[in-house]
Amino acid sequence: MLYKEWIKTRWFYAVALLTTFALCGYVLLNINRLVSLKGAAHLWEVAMFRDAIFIDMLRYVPLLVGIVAAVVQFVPELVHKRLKLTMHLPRGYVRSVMEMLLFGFGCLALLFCGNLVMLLLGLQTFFANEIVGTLFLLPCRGIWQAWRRTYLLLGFVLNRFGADGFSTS
Amino acid sequence: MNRIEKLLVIVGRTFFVCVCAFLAVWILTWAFHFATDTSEKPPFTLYSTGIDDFAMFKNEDTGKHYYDAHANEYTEAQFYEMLPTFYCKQLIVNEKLPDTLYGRPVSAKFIQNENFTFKTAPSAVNKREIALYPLMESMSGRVDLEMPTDVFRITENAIEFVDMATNSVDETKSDLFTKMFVQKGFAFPAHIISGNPTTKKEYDNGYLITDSNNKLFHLKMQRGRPYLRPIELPEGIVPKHIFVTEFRNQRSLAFISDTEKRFWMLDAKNYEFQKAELPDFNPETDGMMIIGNFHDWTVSVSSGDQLRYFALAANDLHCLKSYEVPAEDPTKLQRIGNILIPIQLKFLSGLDGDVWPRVTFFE
Amino acid sequence: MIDCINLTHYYGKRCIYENLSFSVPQGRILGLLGKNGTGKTTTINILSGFLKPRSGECRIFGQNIIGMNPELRRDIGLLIEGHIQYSFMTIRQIERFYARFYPQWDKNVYYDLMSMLKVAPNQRISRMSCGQCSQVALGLLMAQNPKLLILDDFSLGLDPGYRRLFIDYLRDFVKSSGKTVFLTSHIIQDMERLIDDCIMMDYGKIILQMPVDELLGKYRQYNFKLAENSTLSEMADVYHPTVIRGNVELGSFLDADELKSRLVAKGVAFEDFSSQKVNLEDAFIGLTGKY
Repeated sequence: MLYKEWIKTRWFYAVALLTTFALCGYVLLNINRLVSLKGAAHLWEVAMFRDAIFIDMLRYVPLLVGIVAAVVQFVPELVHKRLKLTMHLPRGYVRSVMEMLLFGFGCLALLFCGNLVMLLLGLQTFFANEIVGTLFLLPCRGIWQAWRRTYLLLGFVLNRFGADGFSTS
Repeated sequence: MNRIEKLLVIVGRTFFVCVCAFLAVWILTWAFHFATDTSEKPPFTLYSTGIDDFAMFKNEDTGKHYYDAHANEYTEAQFYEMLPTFYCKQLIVNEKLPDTLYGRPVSAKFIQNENFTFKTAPSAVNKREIALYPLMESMSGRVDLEMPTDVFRITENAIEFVDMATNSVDETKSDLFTKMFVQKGFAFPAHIISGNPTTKKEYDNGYLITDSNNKLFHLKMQRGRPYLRPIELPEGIVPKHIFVTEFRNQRSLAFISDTEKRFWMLDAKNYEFQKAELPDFNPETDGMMIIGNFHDWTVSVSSGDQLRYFALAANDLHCLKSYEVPAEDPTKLQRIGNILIPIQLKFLSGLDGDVWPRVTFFE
Repeated sequence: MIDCINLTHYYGKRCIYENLSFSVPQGRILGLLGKNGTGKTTTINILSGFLKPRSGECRIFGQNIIGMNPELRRDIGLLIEGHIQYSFMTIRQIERFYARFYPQWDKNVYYDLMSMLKVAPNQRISRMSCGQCSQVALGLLMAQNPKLLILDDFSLGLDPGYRRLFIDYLRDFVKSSGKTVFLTSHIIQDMERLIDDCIMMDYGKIILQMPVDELLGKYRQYNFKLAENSTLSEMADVYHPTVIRGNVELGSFLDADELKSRLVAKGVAFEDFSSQKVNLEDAFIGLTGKY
């Protein structure tokens, strides 16, 4: 099952990997530019006293990636009644769906962990650990919530509707 | 379907139902408050020694309204004269500022020097702060203060100064300060570190810090050298929240709220504690505003929907008068809503800056 | 192999069928014939376990389909209408995927059939024609080597060449290893080449279930002309008579003499009486009626 999911989604994850890392790189370059223009002290000041985040353009990235991942993974399973193929496999349907969900979950986890590591390493060159820790409170919370809720819920809902719509056909 | 799959299906369906219920409660709560919340601003209230009562001012549809806590009405001119220290400039313009006030000769400069405002709100107290602090040079010889190029942190066993441009520790400066800390008996790590990291003040009082044994210290930097003075705490006082003050009159060093919810003023000259005659005050849940002058302080304390005013004597902080603003009755719509939506879910709160679910029952 | 007892199903308030019962013996190829909307796909969906009937029971290998151990599906090969497959995979990838689920998987059979396809080894199924997809689907079925095959409209979208190839391969595969097949199709000529037994469905009921040889041996199409002032009244054992300008066409399992004597007994005057054997398609139309 994981093999099938990998074949189906590998191009999406390749694109997502490039895009998300490129965005992280852009954000870090942007901070570097700000340091050159306004000085590091100014950035530290706004981070410490005015709650500036610097990386908030990444706020919706995990949400969007999660939605697209769910669509890329589950829509091909539902079109042309392909759900019948999954349901006919000699193993429980629920198990199959759970494996699909775990696959997507795991891939997104790896992807976002990679992003977080890149951000962590990059931000540590500019800011003290205390500031990096606070900046990370946002993306960590955002990633955890957006990815968990959106991906799982969307995947579950798509399968639910797929199976229900399916049973009345 | 085997047992595990049946269990997974049950878990999945339960999760789905819970999420739907969660969303329904959240959206209903939001919609209810969106439709019914009213913001009734309280009137401006200040204690007047002249009438020995709280003077109030409110802008209403019918016009400006000046009155006191006993519903006596006043004109605008009378109102200004009742509060001479607050309306000092206006009285000067009207040529009505007296030469003596409350048995003491006064000038406009003296009044303005003695006036101060202090404010604290739970959202600021509960805010997660970054444990990095800029220590300004308090004896630079210049008129304006300057932000330093480094910030300090207090670790398990030292104070470290981090240069912001290079994001690296200044070992020399850190060692110098750490030696002073050790010498003065500071037990690392720090418990509370409080100061005002802004240049928008007339002078810098540095930081007040408690160590791991809750002993209080005053830290400043003078000509690049550390100034650290242990401050003796009276018996039974364990500071919980410290608010360093840098008022023009240079009388107070800080306001301190302790673990017993008492409110103290720390004298800047002799480092002595003076207790304010106020009821229990918890900065984590209550807001406070003090408008003070050389003679009296008007202290407003808000907790939840309750708003109380206290007049304190400036010399010894004993309570002269108090007044509680009558609570507003909820509107009919709010009452109905509170019954229809017994469980309310919000993610934000006025008490802090965090986002996490908060549930109330039968608000 | 398959036993359906008193199946009843509704879509909302619309009754598809009530108390439908049939059996598919082992080693036979059985075709389900019926007009659109008579419940062929419904029956396939029930047999595949995708649909739960309103009432009644369906058993495969003696086990009730509802609650059947998923592992038993290893012995059931399913062809979905339109030869639907995971089209994002190549023929190699899809073989590798399915092989893991079926212990008796024979990949040589699959690749033999694939060698006939003029496709690159890494070509995705989505880039193949309908006919090529059907071959892939057939190859996967054959590699799975199931005891029972359920084929839903196997000829959908195929040109005559691919249909013939599909039928020939399938028949050879099934007969050489004693498989049981349950299938449907809209193209009855194809069914005639393939199936041993047939079930004909009309709205809400089964008209007949019998071997095709027996059906085509006994069923006759009769034509005659009604004499002037003569009308054809209702008769038993006669299917969907049509009368156009006095010319009657009807189908029946009665032999010619028996039919003539019944017509006479009913007082129907006729002339130019003729009878002929028909193919399965004509028999189907005769038994179910023209639209």
